Amino acid sequence: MRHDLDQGRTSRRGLALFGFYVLAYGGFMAVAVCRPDLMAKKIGNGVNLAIHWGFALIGLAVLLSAIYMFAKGKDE
Amino acid sequence: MLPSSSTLAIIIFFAFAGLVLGISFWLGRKAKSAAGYFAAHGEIHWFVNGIAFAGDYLSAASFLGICGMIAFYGYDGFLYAIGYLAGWLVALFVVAEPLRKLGKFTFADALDAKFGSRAIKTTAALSTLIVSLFYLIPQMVGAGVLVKPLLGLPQEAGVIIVGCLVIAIVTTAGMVSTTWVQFIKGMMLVVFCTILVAMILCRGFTEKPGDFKKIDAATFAALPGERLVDGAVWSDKKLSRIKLGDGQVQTWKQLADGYVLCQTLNKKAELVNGLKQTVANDLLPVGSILDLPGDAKEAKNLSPSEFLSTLQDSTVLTWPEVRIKDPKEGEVCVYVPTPVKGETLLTPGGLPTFKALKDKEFTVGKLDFISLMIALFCGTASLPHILIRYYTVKDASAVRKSTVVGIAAIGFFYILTLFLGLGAMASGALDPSNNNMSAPLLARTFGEWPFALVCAIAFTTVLGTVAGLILAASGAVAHDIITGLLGHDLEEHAKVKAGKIAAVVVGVLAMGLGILFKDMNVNFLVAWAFNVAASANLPALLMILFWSGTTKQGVAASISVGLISSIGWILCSKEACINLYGLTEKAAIAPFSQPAIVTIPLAFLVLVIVSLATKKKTTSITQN
Repeated sequence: MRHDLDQGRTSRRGLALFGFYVLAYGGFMAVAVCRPDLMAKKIGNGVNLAIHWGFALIGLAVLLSAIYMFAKGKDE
Repeated sequence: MLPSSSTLAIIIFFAFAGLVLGISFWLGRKAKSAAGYFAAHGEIHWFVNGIAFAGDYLSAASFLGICGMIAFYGYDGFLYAIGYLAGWLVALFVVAEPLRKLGKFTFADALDAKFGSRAIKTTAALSTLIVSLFYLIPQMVGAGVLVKPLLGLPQEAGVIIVGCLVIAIVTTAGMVSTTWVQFIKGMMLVVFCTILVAMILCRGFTEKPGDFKKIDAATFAALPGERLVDGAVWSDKKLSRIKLGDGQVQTWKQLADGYVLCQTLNKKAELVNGLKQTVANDLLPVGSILDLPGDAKEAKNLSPSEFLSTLQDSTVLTWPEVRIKDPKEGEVCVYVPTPVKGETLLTPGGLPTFKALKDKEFTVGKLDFISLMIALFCGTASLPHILIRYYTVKDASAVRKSTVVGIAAIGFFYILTLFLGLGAMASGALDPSNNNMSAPLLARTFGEWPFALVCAIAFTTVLGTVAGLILAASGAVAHDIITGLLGHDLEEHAKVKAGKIAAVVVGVLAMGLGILFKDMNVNFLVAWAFNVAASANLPALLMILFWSGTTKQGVAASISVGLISSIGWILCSKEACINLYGLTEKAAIAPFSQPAIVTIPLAFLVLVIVSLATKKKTTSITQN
């Protein structure tokens, strides 16, 4: 069973990607809570930071999951 | 607003729903064994499973709830979309593969793989049942909301129709059938919403300044009719009422520089502006652009970024609700026309629950936002109906691939929801009394066909998610409680039969709860389910995978404490006081609505303390 559990543990790479996403997600929360005025700032295309960051979090989730899938596929 | 349906819409709706059900029954006709019923023999193709993930996850909350919240409150609805998607990374990077390797049919299998403990099996099964029921409530509410305008039936009828159909799906072919319902619905949802967004961008915005009627104090004073002498419940909100000769009651809101005419609805007495609610005397549809940037009167054929920047620089007429508890008339909902700058709507803090985000100082209200984002992040990886989908594909590689397909489909859909919600906000078609209907009403502005298709897709959305939830709950009963806890080692056929009986019971229970909670926003209800799932399941799951000191007593205690504390907190929250008990928000004991920020760490703490305590005991017994 111990062996199974070891096998079941996620790779360091997965956790590193996860940590990166946590930083992006936590940063979004921190800015929304501590500096709400920054969220209203327009940053390109006339659209504010809140919208850009929201889209970026969605895009990043897709990107990181794809990287993880390809990397694990290569390992195997 | 009262329902107004068309024959075309009804025909399209039934044809579409019938086709989806027919295909799913035909494809799912082979499942006879427990492995087939609960896990589709692990033979689902990874792409189908990935889209089915999306079909399972994009529930009534995602489609109806998020669109409705964005249409009424702006960016805050999108916060839910961000959180819902982020949670998938916890599922993919941390939970998916170990869970797949540890389990067989259910979430309790995985938790109990190391210990073989009855206590773990029981608490995990109970947690699965309760979380599934919590998640079922908003789906059933969403079903009722859909059927009301489409078929002209009461909301309760929608709940019962969905309940019966889903019980039929789940009891006929289990996971295979459920997977195909979710696959078809997931594909249709993404494809059709993409088309709808393209139509929204082409239509753009049109200025309608005439929708906001404001008069000065002198004109207000000269208005004919009887001035009603109302109590403080009205005057405290700066509301004045004038009764006209035909019995109609006008409600005016006093502003700094004049008065605006509101709309009122007494749901219990079925009165609109003081008169009986009929098709001729109903709430007026709302949602319009008062002022576009520059001198433009309309802006058409916009790119996605032009759409967002145009709305950001416009002024939108919103209709927030004020609830008045009149001692004689009961609860009256007043809808107050309120111009709001687009830049305000496109930043966090529009939703009443998150209004503290607009404050510069840190207040308790901001904890609600933090807690919600934590719950959404941690909740996805703890939802039983999502977790069981890790057992429907053949190996770990297929688990990863299907999760990535699911994340891509869900992420793309959530981007669409922002445009759907904002499009609805300016569509002039919103029902001010029900934000859950925003997406179908938006579609109706493009014609009966889009309306019927959106309703049919939304209905199958509910079917797909409810089927997955009932399957997860029936698995918990048949596999974990009967086999694991009661010790009855059922044969394959008997296990499937027990699962089907459990599916009927859970389905009936869900129908009752769907009727009880019919007035709440479906997205808000789902957020509560995420809080409960994250508090009860995630700490135990993570600690079993990553801390060797975890004991069976620690796991059972953690699940129990997470479950009880999160549900207890929710039942003492402001929203529960207002919507469940009919009290004021002052009666709330919980300082904020979303418990995750307190109850997740609490469940971790309990697991560590109990594990340390019981491990020490075990060690000392061994030494003696």
